[in-house]
Amino acid sequence: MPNRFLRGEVLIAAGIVFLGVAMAFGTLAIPRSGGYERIGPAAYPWVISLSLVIIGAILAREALRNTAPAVPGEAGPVGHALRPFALVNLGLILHLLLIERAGFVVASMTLFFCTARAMGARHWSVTAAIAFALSLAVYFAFSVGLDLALPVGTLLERQ
Amino acid sequence: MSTLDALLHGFSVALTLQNLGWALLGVTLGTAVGVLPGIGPALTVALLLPVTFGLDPTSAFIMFAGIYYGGMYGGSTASILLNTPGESASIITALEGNRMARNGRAGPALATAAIGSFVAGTLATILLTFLAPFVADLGLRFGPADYFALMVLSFTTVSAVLGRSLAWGLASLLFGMALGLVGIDVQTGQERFTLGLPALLDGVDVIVVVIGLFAVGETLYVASRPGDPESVAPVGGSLWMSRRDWARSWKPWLRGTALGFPFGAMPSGGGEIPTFLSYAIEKRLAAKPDEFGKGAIEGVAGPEAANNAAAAGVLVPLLTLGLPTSATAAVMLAAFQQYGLQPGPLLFENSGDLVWGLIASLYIGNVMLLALNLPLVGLWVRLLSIPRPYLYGGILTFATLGTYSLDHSVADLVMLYLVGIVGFLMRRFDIPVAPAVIGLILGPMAEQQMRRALSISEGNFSIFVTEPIAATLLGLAALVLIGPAVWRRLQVGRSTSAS
Repeated sequence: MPNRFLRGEVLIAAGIVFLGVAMAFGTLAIPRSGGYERIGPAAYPWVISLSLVIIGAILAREALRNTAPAVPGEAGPVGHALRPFALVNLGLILHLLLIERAGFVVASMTLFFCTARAMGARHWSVTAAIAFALSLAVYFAFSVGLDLALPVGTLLERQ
Repeated sequence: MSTLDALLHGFSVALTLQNLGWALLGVTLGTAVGVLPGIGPALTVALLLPVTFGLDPTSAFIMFAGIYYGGMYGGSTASILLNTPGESASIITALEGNRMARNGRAGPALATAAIGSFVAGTLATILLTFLAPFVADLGLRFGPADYFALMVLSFTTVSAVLGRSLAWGLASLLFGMALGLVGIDVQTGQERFTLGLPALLDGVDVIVVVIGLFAVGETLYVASRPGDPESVAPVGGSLWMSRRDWARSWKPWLRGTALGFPFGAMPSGGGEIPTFLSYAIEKRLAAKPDEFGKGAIEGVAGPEAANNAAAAGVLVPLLTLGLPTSATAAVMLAAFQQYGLQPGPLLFENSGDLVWGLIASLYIGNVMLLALNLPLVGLWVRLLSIPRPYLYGGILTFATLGTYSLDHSVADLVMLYLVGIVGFLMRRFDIPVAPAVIGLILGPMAEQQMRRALSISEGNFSIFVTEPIAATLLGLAALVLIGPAVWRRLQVGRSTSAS
């Protein structure tokens, strides 16, 4: 395999085939009764799942034969940064775990803080202060100004 | 009611103090998100949807249209000063525009982009005004089979035009269509692909997918590539174009408009292609072609006009047939559906106030944008100096907020995260995102039209070839799909037989 990019493409193409096959199994579970139109709710899913399998196979073949059109700017090994990427992921996961338990302000602060740090914000205290200020401002703008209720957090409510 | 009367009535709707305010807010927001990297008009409209639900639909759409047009203006500013095109339609602008800025001619580059956008935007809005009622009339004659064929045609063109190859475009489209299948089948009440999860019964929300692909995917991508520090070119030189600049700009503006509008109006995937074509044409027609690549003003004027004209053109199929051909148009369609409105021929009859108010506000928005973008350009330049860490922190804060406030459900946030991962992969492997969005919203509509057509014909598939309109459109779609491959075969065959 010449480079990481093509190896990735093969994996994605395989993923597309897998999605198509999985959907085909899902389609088997749909009853095939149709009304006047005679084809019912399973016909269209069949078309899509089979198309996914075909397109995935074509893409895999292209990537394996390396005939796919070259991507400008992707030549050579791509610099990768696992740490910042992981930090943004962590922020997103913490956010969805925290939002109903600890409330909007805490969850948003955490997300903002993780993302900003991942993107290279230097001083953690300044970043934390901005994260807090923004989350609080948004909270009040939404709950007071727009009358959209944002969660306070069950942890706080219990006390 | 004649078109002119309708338009005048539209102005009476759009010129109320309240709607002028919404238009101003829209164009200001639109310019801001166009200038800022990481957010564009599609994402902005998606984020605003939950907030605007209580608003009068006419006002909301006047604001959305302002965001849509404003994004086009702002995108050119970012391209010229930063060399990072905010959206695909302004990639070409960066070529010559950033060169000009580096040569100390940022002022004239910004001016020709803004004035060109204004000229093209206004001319294309006039074309939209007079073409739309005509297409809507045509649309009234379309049956379900014809609509289905039209959708198939736009599926194929959108996949072929956006992105680097037809196969990847189709993969993206099919992914969107697969997501669109999830939920309860409207016609039979049958559950499909819900995996037994109650959260999936209502299907996958287009808005969540758009926010996930554009905001979360983009942020993850930027985080994964610690990059080169960007540098903002100073706004040097006078903002005024010299007599020579005008002389070199006006023809490219008009040619760009003539190219951009038809490309936008046909179901062919929006603004990218006409900007490439316009650049190539201007290079060929220029008095000094060797200036191209070193900062030729024609290379900014033409493509900028083309991209704005295409933006107006895209509204023709969206408003008259309910057919979105760009990501932003798809989000606007979702917005219409949220208000219980279905764009299409009937929209012109049932919601004249809204449609004509919207069209009139496009003229007003263009004037506002010219004023906002020329004298106030310094303000937008300052936006470019927001530190990236805080910008992306803010983008994710609002992305999660917008998603959560849709339905107050953590399941939506999980979906947002998963779609974000997919968006990251698509961005990383240069797979176009817009076909997925269009497939998601248009897929279920295509299925309904197909089944409606088949129930009329009592299950007989020949309806798709015996109806003349449907047959023509399906033929065109087949041509888009296999035409290029056949053409290549023929070329290869000819060159081998010749040698």
